[in-house]
Amino acid sequence: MENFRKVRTSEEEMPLPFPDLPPDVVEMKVKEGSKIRNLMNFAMAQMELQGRRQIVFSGCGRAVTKTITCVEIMKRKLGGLHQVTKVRYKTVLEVWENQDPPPDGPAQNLTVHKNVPSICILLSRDPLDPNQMGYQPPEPRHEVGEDTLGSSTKGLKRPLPPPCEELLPKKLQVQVSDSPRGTGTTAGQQDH
Amino acid sequence: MSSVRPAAPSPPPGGLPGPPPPPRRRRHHRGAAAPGPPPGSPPAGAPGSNDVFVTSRSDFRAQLRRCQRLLAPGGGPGAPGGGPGAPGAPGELRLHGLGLAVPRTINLALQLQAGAGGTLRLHASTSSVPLRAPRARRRHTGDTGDSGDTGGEDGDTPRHNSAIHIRLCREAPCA
Repeated sequence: MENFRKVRTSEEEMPLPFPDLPPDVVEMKVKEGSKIRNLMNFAMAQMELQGRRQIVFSGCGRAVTKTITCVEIMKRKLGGLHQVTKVRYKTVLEVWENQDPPPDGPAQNLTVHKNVPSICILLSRDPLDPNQMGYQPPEPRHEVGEDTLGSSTKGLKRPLPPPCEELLPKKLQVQVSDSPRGTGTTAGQQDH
Repeated sequence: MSSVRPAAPSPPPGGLPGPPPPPRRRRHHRGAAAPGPPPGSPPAGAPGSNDVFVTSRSDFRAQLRRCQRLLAPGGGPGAPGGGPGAPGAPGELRLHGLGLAVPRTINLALQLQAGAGGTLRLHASTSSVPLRAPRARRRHTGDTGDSGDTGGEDGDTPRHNSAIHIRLCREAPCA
């Protein structure tokens, strides 16, 4: 077995375990190497700028914790989201190839089927059926509002700084006004 | 008339014993008993015997056996082998996993469901748990003397860790 190397890994495609989902629902497939910042930038843009009402986060294996992290960040930023969590097994196919095949035989391949735990989380602005398994109501607003006020723009990219032409008049104002430094006026602070 | 005094007893071998030690004084708190739960009952907010906190260090098979024993019809807190704690609903188990233990928690729940033959229902929920800095680090930042300036270096915004809570119950639906 020491001569075998993994050459390909593929996941079995399974339908989402949520009933009555629109066909164009955004599904964020979280992988182990995914960057949370990139995921949140796209997801927040879909929910805020594109006006989406529902979004699904899914991940398996080592990406499960990261999937939950993305969901918690989104709930903290947006607030008032209904959540449904489903856990299940997902089949992962790994193809191993013999790097040192026998001279008189073909290359030996080994296909491994692994059942790894996976999670699918649906976040929705619209109310969902509270009786279905895995339903979680939105958190109270006062627990979320303090975070969203300060970090509502964190998921989005930073706005571009104003162009240089707008800064020139301020510099001229600083140079023209002869304000004493000892008084601590705003003009003095602008010099820093 | 002369009185006969009894002869003094001979000293024991090894010398005379020393003076007896002074009695120990014990402080007894008088008055009303300190507020708190009565003895024998778990403190308020403590997890009951139906709560299992999954770690990545424990042996998976041992965790699975323990959960199966707790889910068995006679495996509640009153049965022998059931641990102390607040009694939970019979036939119900709550699994909690934090951070790296989340996939293991899901695996445990799914294994229990597979072994029960479809009689178990899973109800999963997620949360964020704020982490506290270790005591040594908190003590170190507090010793600098600038509690207002350097105390916030570590812990104004605590780090959060993702957690999953899975409730398994035999009756359907779980309230």
